[in-house]
Amino acid sequence: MLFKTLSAAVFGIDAFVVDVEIDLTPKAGDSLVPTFTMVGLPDAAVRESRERIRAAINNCGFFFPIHRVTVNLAPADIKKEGSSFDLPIAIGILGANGDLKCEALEDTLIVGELSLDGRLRPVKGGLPIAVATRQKGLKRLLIPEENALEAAVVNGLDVYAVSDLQSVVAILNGDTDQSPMIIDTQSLLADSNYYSEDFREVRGQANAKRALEVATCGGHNILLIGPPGSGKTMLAKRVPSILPPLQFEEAIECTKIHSVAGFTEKRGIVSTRPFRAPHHTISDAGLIGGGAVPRPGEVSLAHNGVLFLDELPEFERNVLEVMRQPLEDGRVTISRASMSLTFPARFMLAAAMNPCPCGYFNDPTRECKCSPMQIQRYVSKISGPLLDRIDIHIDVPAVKFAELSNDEPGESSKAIRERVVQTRGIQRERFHGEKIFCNAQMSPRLIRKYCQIDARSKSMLENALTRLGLSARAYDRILKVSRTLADIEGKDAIEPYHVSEAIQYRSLDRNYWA
Amino acid sequence: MNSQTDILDWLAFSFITGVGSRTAAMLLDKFGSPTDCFNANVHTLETLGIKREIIDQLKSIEPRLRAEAELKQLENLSGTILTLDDDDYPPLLKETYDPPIVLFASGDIQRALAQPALAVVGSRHCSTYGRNVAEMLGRELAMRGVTIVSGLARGIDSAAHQGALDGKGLTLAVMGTGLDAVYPKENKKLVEKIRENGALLTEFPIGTPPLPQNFPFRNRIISGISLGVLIVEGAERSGSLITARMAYEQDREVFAVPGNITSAKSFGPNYLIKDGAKLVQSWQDVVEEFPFEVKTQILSAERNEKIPTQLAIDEISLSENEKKVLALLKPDESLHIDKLTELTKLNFGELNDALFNLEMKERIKQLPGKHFARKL
Repeated sequence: MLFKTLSAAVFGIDAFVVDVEIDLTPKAGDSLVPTFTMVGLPDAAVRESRERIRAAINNCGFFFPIHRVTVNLAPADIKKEGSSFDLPIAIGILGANGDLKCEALEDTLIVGELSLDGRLRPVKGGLPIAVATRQKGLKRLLIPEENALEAAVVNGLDVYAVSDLQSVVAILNGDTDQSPMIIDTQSLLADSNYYSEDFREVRGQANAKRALEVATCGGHNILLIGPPGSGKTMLAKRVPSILPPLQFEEAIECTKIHSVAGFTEKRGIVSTRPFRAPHHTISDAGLIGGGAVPRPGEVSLAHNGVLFLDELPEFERNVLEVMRQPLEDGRVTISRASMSLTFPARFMLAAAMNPCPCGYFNDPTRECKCSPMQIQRYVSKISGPLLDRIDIHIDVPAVKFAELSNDEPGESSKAIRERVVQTRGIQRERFHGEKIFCNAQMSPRLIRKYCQIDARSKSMLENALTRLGLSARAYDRILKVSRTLADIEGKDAIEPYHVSEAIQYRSLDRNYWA
Repeated sequence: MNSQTDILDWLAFSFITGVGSRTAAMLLDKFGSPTDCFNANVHTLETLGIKREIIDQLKSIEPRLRAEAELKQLENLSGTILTLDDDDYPPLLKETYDPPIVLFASGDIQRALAQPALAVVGSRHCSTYGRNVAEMLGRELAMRGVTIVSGLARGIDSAAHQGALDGKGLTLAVMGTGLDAVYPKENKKLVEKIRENGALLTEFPIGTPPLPQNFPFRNRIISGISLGVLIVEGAERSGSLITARMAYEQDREVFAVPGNITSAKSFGPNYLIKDGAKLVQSWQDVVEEFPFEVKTQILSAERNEKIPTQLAIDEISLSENEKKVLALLKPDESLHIDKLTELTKLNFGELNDALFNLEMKERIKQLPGKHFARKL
C-alpha cells in the first residue's frame, strides 16, 4: 500500500518541498528481508527516526504495521538531514495502514520531530518552510507549536500549531475544531523596535555619541578606540536603537536566517535589529558560516543589524580575512564540492580596540606600560582590507567618576533615531535607481558625482593629508563622511567645516601611533 | 689631503678588534698613521706589548678587505667618511678624551658643523610639556643659526629635531646604528628631512643594529661635538643624566629646563640645576653661555633683523571661534574634546572646524584620544 505525505527540508535560508512516500508490503513468512528501509540519502538523524516513530505510534494508541515498510524521501539525489521528517513519515505510515480517513494529503505539508511518547518537538527553519509551502501552492501547514508563530506570518496559508501525534491525526481526519493560527503582523512590528538599551543611559561622551550618530546616518562602519572601561561596548550595544526601524521585509529576512540557525523558537519573527557580538576566539566558519551542510555564521545573523567585534586585534588574522566578501558584497557564498550556498550578510560593522596592549596609552591618569614596539605591533594587527572598510574612528576617553555622577542623562535613542531616519531618507532619494541605499556604500564613481567640494575644501583636505600623515586612501572616506555630515544638516553642498569634522574621524591614520 | 689608500687604512684600522681608543692612540703616536701601523715591524710591535691577536690582524688582509666592502656600501648610500686626521673632522670632538677614529656621515656635515652646535637630549617617554619645550627651544635656536644635535630617539630627541626643522635651521642626528638603519622605525620621514637640512652621523659601520650598548658611545659624540648639552626632561635613572655627566667630563656647558617638582620626568633636570647646571627658560639663557664671539654674533643678528617667522605666526589671523578655543588650551596639559565642547558651547561643526584650522596653523597639536594642547 502506498501513501504520500509532503514535507520540507531547509537549504541555506530557504526550504524545498520533499515528497515522503510510504510503501507497505506484506512480509513473506520468516523472511529475513529488513522490515524498515529508508531511501533518498537520509542522514543518521533521519535514519534513527525509525525507532522514534515506532515508539510514538505505539504509544499513541495506534498500531505499528508488521509489514515491510519502505520510505522514500524524494527527490532522491539530495541529502536529507535533521529530525523534521519524523512526523510526516509517521503520518505516512498511519495513512498507508488505513488509520487516516483520507486517501491522500495533497495540499498539506507536515513537519515535526517526534518524542517517544508522541509529543512533537520544534524544527529549524519554520519560516522558510512556510514560505516554501505557500510557493508550492499548498494550503495547509502542520508544524510544531514553537515554530508556528513565525510560520503564521506567511499570508495565504493555514498554519496549524500541533503539539502531538494525536492532534495531527485529528486535524487530518477533520475530528477537531482547531483552527489555523492567526497573526496580526502589523501589531507584531508595531511594538517591535523596542530596545532595552537606550542612549539616555550614556553620560558624557558627547564626541563619541556624535560620531556614532554620524556613522549610523550614513551607514559607515566604525572603530571605537579607548581604554578598558571607557564604555565602548556600552556605546556599541546602543547602535541598533538608533538605526531606522526594521521594515517588514527586513524582519522576514532576519527571521529566516535566525530560524535556520534555531534561534526563533516561541519568539515569532525577529522584530528588532540584531546585535551580534562574537568572542574573538571565534573560528572563520563560525563567523561567516560553514559546516558540512552550511549554516549561517555571525555575519548573517547580524544581517540588517550590527556586528560588533570587540578586541579587534585579538581576532585571528585569517578570520578577519574572510570578512572581505560580506563587507564588499553584503552576502556570503559558501562553496562545497556538492553545492554552493549564499547567505545574506549586510550589516553595520562596529569594532573596538584599546589604544595599546595595556590600554592606557595617553591616559591622563594611568601610566602606559607598553613599549613603542608593542604598540606598533598591536596597532598593525588590524591594518589592511578590514581597516580600509572602516570610515570612522571614534576615540572614547576614559570616563572619570566625577563626570559619571555630574552629567545629566543623555539624549534618548528615540530623538537621535528621528534624525537618522531623516538623513537616511535623503540618501534613499538620492540613490533611487542605484543599487545602494546609503552614503557608505558609494563607489568612486558615485563619490565623484555626489561629493563635490569647493577649492578651499580641496586644498584643506590635501593639506591635512600631508601635514597630519593621513594616507591617500583616507581621501575618499573623508568625502563620504562629509557627505553624510552635510545630509544631517539637510544641506546640498558640502561645506569646509563638514570636511574638517570628517578629517577628525581618522585617528588611526595619524602618525602618533606609528 | 687623504688619498684613497689612506682612508682605506684608517677604516681598516678601526675594524681591528681589541684595539680600544688607548691602544689606537698609542699606536698612532708611535708610528704616525694607520698605514704605518700596518707596515710596522712585528718585533717592534711585540716589544711594545701589543697582543698577538692584534698583531695578527695588523698583518692580515682581513681588515682591509672589510674596509673595501664598507666603502663600497657607503658609496651606495651616498655617505661620506671622516677620519681623525681629516681637516673636516669636528674639532670639538677631536679634543675629547676618546674620539672615534672614523666617522660615517650622510648629508652636509660641513655645513652643519660650520655653525655653533647645541645638544638637546631627554626622556623617550616625555610629557606634553617636555615635548613642547623641546620643540620650541629647538626652533628658536635653530632659526638663529645654532645647529641642534640630538640622538634621533623617540620623545625629546625627535621633538628637538622637529623643532629645528620647523625653524628652518640645521640639525644633526647622531645614531646608535649604522647609516643604513633607521631607529626607531617611525622616524623614517624625519631622517630624510634631517639629511636635507643637516646631517646624520655615526661611528658604527653599516649594518650595525641598535644594540643597547651602542647608545652610551653615541651619547659621548652628542655631547663631544657640541658647545653644550640641554636636558629637557629625564627621570631619575635616565640616559640623559648620563649624557649630562659626559658633558661635565668633556668640559661642556650643561643646561636644564626645570619642571614641576611633582613630575617624575623632571627629576633629572631639577637635580642637575641644584648641582649647578644653568636653568633655561628661553633661548637667550642658552646663548648667554656660549663663547664670546658666538654669543655676540647671534645677539647682534637678533637686534638687526626681525626674525620673520615669529611675527608671521602671530599675524596669521584667527577667527572668533579659533580664538575662543585657543584661549582654553594650555601647553602643559592636554584637554579632551568633550571638555572643549562643554566649555565653548560650540556645535560639533564649528568646534571641529576651529580645531582643524588651529592645527593647520600650527598653533595647537592633537594627541591620541582626541586630546588637544597648545604649542609653545
